[in-house]
Order: sequence, then structure tokens, then C-alpha cells
Amino acid sequence: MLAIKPSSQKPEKCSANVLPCQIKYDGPIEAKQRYWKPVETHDGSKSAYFRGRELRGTDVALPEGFRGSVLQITEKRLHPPPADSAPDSDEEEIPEDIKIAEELAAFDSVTVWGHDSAPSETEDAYFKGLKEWIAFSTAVRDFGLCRDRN
Amino acid sequence: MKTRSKPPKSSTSKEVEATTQQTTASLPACVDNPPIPFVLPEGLSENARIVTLANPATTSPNRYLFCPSKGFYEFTRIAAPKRLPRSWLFSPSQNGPVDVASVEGDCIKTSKDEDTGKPVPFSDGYVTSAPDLMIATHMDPLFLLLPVLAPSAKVKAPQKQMFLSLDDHLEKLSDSSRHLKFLLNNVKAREILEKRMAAVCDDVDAGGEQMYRLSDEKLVQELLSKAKRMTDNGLPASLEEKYVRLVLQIPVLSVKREDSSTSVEVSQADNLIDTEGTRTPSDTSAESQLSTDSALSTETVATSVSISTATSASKTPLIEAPEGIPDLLRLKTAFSFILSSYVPCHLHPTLTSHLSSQKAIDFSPLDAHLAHIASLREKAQALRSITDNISRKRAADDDDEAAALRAEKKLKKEEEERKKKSESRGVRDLKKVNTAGMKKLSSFFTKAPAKK
Repeated sequence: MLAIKPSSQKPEKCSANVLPCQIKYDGPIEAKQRYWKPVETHDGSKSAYFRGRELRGTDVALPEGFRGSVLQITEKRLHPPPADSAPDSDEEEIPEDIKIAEELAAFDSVTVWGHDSAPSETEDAYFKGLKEWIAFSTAVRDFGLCRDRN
Repeated sequence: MKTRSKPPKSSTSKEVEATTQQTTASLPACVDNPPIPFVLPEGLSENARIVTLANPATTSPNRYLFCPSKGFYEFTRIAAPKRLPRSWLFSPSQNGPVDVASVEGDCIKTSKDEDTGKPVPFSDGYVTSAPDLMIATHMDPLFLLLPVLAPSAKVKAPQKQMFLSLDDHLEKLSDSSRHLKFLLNNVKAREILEKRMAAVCDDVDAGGEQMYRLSDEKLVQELLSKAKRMTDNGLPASLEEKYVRLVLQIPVLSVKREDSSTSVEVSQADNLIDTEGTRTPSDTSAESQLSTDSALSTETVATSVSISTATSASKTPLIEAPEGIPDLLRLKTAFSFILSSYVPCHLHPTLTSHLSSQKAIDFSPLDAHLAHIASLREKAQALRSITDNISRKRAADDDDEAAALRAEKKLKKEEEERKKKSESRGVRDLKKVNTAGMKKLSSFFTKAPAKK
């Protein structure tokens, strides 16, 4: 079980990019302007050069009511269980392992990059996921809450 | 003898390796537990928890998010397909000129941080090799309840379903998972679950306590209204394409061919996409005449064929189907989507049978239409094989029996040939001798009749 907490350093805004290649590395890097400098092109898409290759990217804004956050699942425990989550249960099972997922950074749009041309909006999994799936799944769920409220 | 010297070892690959090693060496080792990007609902409360529960449809563990104020969310993992390698790059955000300065500032800061041994802030840049993105989307907690409300053993004896109180149901639920147990300690979660349970259950009042039992009828109603809601806004484009347009597509058969110039009679359906995907080789010339989709299946038949013109004439240009059929199909698609992704498998047969017996919505015209299309497809398939026979002479490869026969014949022929070749010259020469006047050899071995 995970609890979401902002990290000790204040989570900063960053821009999330889906690169059209695999980088076999996990970890911090210095994405300096010298190496990564996306530029807006005249047709609205973005363009950047990555190791000498031109990439074209399109921004996908997250739907309203959603925010992007980068979580790091840590081994830290959330020791004091919040009073609210276990209000009147006298059962002994309260010391449940709650690990902390630290929020390292936030983003509010995802840029999906493709080689030479921006990826197609109808085929790319990220476009479909962020646009179609969120709207669709809200419809799956919608009924419950709306009726509950009425 | 001098042997040829071995070709020089290709040093380029080694060099490349070496250089990459060099560059990675300057980086710290990979992080064991890389962070994952999430898309979360805004305004989560402090007590929101990510829990691991069994997926109601597949019973495999899945992650869910529960927030006391917002309700239940499920996580969907988005990953790029294998053939499209992807990775995440988190870079400093750059919105306008102000940020550029701050980015520069950050760079300076990081170098300082490194000097002091502090970890580099995430927003300076981060790479994760896994291209996963977790999206939290609303979920109806009803689906979490279903496995408990309808345990699989009950399928055999549907009559014996008992009315149980909410607590009993939840007790069963919490036994199934520790995380659920934790959730159920939350008053808010109980409230939500009770409401959802009431929506799909028959209930009786037993001495001041409500007792619930799952009602298939109510569940179908509930799911159906969900499906309706899903189709109200239209299905997502990809679903629409795959499950509605392609299914309702009618094969195009009306094509005439004259010797040299291929004239294609294209009905209104020409902007539809081919389902079968197979094409006769000679329709490339026809293709150039089609301005829209190249994937249209055209039949090049020596004799003119016209079968489906009567049906396809009265269709709308986009989806050719009678009024109301696409909507019905969309509804059905949405319904089966819910079934397959949220409802335990053992409930599927009962629910689908209930659905077909629904009075509110009559699916029979849809079924009839689908059957009609299927028959058309079959005809098209049959015609296609005829066409193939004409155009390729031997296109019956798919016909196993014929292929086996042909192989047998070939084998026989080969054997004979081999025999002929292995004959000696003497035997071959003797074959040419005129034996008309000679006695047959066999005549020497008959019973001698003259012996008396």
C-alpha cells in the first residue's frame, strides 16, 4: 500500500517527453539546453535534435481534473497511521505497511516525439491513453457517482 | 601452402562499445527503483492510498487508488508496443523566456550540488528506460464487489443464493485481500460500496437490517445503462473503427472488367477499408482510379459480378447499415467491453443471456444484419477463390486435399523417371526388339498338355 507524499524538496514542474528510442539508463542526467532544446516550429509541433537526429513532437495536455506527477516508490514507512482512515475500529490490524511514494516532480503535458515527423494522434498509444481512455473510462464510471449524488 | 590470412577483426564495433562504456562510466550507475510517471486526479486528499487488489475480471493483482473524497480509481498502464522503443526524458520545463534563465541557473546549481554531494534535483533532467505511464481513471467500485456478490461456485446452484447483510458481504470481501480490509475500515469507502451494492441487489428488510442478494436483472440493467452512457459521447475512435465500422462493412463485389482498360464500378462504399486484406494482383491498375483509400477490395472478375449492389445502394456513405444498427452495435460493443474488462468470467454467460432477453432494447435487428453481412462475406470469399483460379491458374493452395493429390502424382512421376534412368543399356536396347513373331516366355512354363 502506498501513500503519496511530496518529496522533501518541493516537487518542481518539469516537462515529460516520450522519446522514440530506448535509453538503457535510469537515473538523473543533466538535460542541459545544449543537449536538449526543443523549439516550436511554425506548424505548431515541436522540434528538437537528439544526438544529431531530428525529432518532431506533439504536446498532449492532460485532461482537466488530472495532473501528472512522477512518483518514486520508497521503502520509507508511513508510521503514524492517519486518524481519519481508521476512525473507530478497535481491531488490531491497523499497523499495515504503508510505504511512501514520493512525488518528485509534476508535469501537465506530455510531449510525444517521433523521428522526423510527429507521431499520429490516432495510432500512438500515449495519445489514445491520455485522450480517449480517460474520457471513456469516465463514462464507464460516471453513472455511479452521478446517481449517488442525486 | 600458404593459407589465406584471416580478415582483420572488425574493430569498429569494439570501438563503439568502448566509447559507450566510457560515456556511461562517467554517469552514476542505474537507479534500482526508477520513478514512474503517473497521471493522477487533481485534489487528492492526504489519505488517498494506492492499494493492490485483485482485478475483478482476471483476478490478477492490479493497482487501485482510493481517495476518501474522490472515490475509487483504477490504474491503467500505458506502454509502447515492443516494436516501438520508447523512453522517458524529463527535462526542465521551458515555458517562455523566464524559464531559460532559471534553467541556466539550475545548471549552475547542480554543479554546486554535486560538489557538496547533494542529490541532483529531479527537475534538472531524468531518464527512465521503461516507457510506462500509469493513468488513474475513475472506476465503479461495484466491480470490486462483484466477485463477492457472485462467487464462482454459485454458478452450479443459482437457486441457493442467500440474502446476506452488508457486513457479511464486506466481511467476505475483506477476507479476500488485506488491502481491502484496510479500505473497509474507512467509513467513506463503506458508504460508497453500500450504495453500489444496493444498486444491483435485491434487498429485504430483516429486522432493521438490510439484506442484499445479487440480482442478475438489476446488474444487467446497470451495465446496460453504463454502456448507453459510454455510447452517448461516441465510442473512442479506435474502438469505433475496429468494432463498428469494420464489422458493419459490406464486401464490395460489383466490378466489371474489360480486356485492357480496367473500369471499376465503385459504389458509395469506396471509402471503406478492406476487411479481408487479400487482394488480387491485377487490381493495382484499378487502384489508381480510386482517390480515397487504397485498401479497397476490388474484385477483378472476367465475368461481371453484381451481387451486393441492391443492398449497398441505400446505405449512408460512412457506415453502411440500416438506421439504428450502428448504435445497437456500439451499445453491444460497450457492453462486452465492460464485461471483458471488469466482470468475472463466470458471470458472462448469464449476463449475455439476460441481455438478449431484454425488453428495453431489441438486439435482434442487429443480429439479423450481422448474419446478413456474414453471408455476403462468404459469397465474396467464394467468388474470390474463383477469381484466383482464373487469374493464377493454381490458386487452390488452401485446398489441402487437392494439394495432397497433386503431391502424390508428382511423386509417382518422379519415381518412374528414376526407374527409367537406372535401367541398363542392354535392357533398353532389348525393349526395341520386335518380339511379334516370338513365343512369349510365359508359354514355356504352362502345363504341358501334350504329355500323355
